[in-house]
Amino acid sequence: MHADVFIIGGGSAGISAAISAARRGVSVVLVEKHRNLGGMASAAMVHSICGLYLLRENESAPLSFANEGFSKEFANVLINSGAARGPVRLGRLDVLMHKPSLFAEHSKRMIDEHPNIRLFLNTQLYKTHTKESRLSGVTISHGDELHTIECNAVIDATGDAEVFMLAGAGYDRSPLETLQRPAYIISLKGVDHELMCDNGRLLLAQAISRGVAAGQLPSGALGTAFRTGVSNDQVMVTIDLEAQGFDPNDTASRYKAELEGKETADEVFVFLKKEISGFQKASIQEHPTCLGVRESRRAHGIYQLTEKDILEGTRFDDEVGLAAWPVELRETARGPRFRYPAENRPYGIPLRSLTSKRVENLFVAGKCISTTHEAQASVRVIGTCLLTGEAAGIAASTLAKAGNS
Amino acid sequence: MSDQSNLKAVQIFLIDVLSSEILETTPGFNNHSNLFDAGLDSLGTMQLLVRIEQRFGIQIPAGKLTKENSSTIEQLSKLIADSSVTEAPLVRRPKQAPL
Repeated sequence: MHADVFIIGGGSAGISAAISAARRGVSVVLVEKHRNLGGMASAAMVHSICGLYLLRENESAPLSFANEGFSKEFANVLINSGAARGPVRLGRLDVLMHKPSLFAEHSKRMIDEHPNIRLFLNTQLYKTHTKESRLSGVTISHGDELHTIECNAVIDATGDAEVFMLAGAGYDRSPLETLQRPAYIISLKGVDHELMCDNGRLLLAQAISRGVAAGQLPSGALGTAFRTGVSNDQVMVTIDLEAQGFDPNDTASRYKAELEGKETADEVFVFLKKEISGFQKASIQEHPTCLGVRESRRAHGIYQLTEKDILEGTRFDDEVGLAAWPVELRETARGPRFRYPAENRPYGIPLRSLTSKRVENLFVAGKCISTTHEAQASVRVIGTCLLTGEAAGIAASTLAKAGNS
Repeated sequence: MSDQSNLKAVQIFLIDVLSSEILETTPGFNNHSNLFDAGLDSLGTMQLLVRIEQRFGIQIPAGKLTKENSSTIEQLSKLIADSSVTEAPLVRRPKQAPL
């Protein structure tokens, strides 16, 4: 099998990369380990697209998309079909809320519109094949079968820099104790909508903090946050996990953290159903397929984006677009710590931070592009992943075409 | 706990906890800064309530905490000063235990 562009990871970055490459006429193979596309936005039920809009001083200032490309197109597809609601103002930030299952459906539909994309779901990356300083191919594992695919260019959209790890292309990992905390997200139905207003959420915060203080809930319950979903009858519950010693690259550790998340979610739900009248008719609608992992390996690119770049709104000659999300540190399960750029300025994403330093036909897109730990706390959001996916798709298709000619 | 010196002590405590443990505050953060604009969300609120209860042994009555009356340290400190000491201590773990 041959692919001009091989993309591993069918999350927001991989979807964006595949469509952008396919639109430039190259053949694409897209591989996703879960049964649905969408990655964190579907399997982990991360339900808000952040980083789509430029930061603004207050709600009365005009709102505009940070970029004109695929991220805006995809957001409009979700909005126009009722799969997304917003933009919604959360504190100083504007986000688009989406329904995870519909994010996956629309992604699949858009991928299926391109006959030059071959999609493999439930499929893992097994091996990379290197020839001199290039990747000549990859082997994937699908069911009981192994398939080797020759390719001209590779995009690592795994979120875990898996290709960089397997191909020896270099990566960084934050110490486990400073790694951004993972999240476990469930959806509820039947919650009294009044509880989702600002003061309703304060009431829930009070109830949970009392439950913890009284020993009725585990301390992990203090990581719980509530938001209305796309429809008013759906409530999304996000629990930032303490998950001590959590290692996103260790299967047993992920499983342990998932279990911690599920147990905490169930305990919080039972407690609120007993204590809060607006929860009496509530039920759990859905648990996630996997944990929401905010940070994992970070690929070694030609340029490493830093926190200084973000806070100063640095622009680059080779930038592929603008990122507009503050540094959102979640190193503890006690809530985010935001660091905003001067004058709410956006910063540029240089193509060099999507390009491998060591392997000449390898690109990276999504939350594991070349950054420091702090900068990753800004670039990881879905809006920016859509942007870096699109840029990697264009760059890889250009390289692949040159290779074909 | 209702006189001015106590109110001041509560405010100093709140500024310390918020800026060192809960929020990424910027220079100029003070008693009148809007806490929600500074990034206080429901997770931060829960941490703050637990710390208030640990420190002062008081609970703000359910429903009394609203966005309108707790958006600054000045407002929050009055709310704490007006709240009575809990009848039964709710903190059942050692006082210095990490959250």
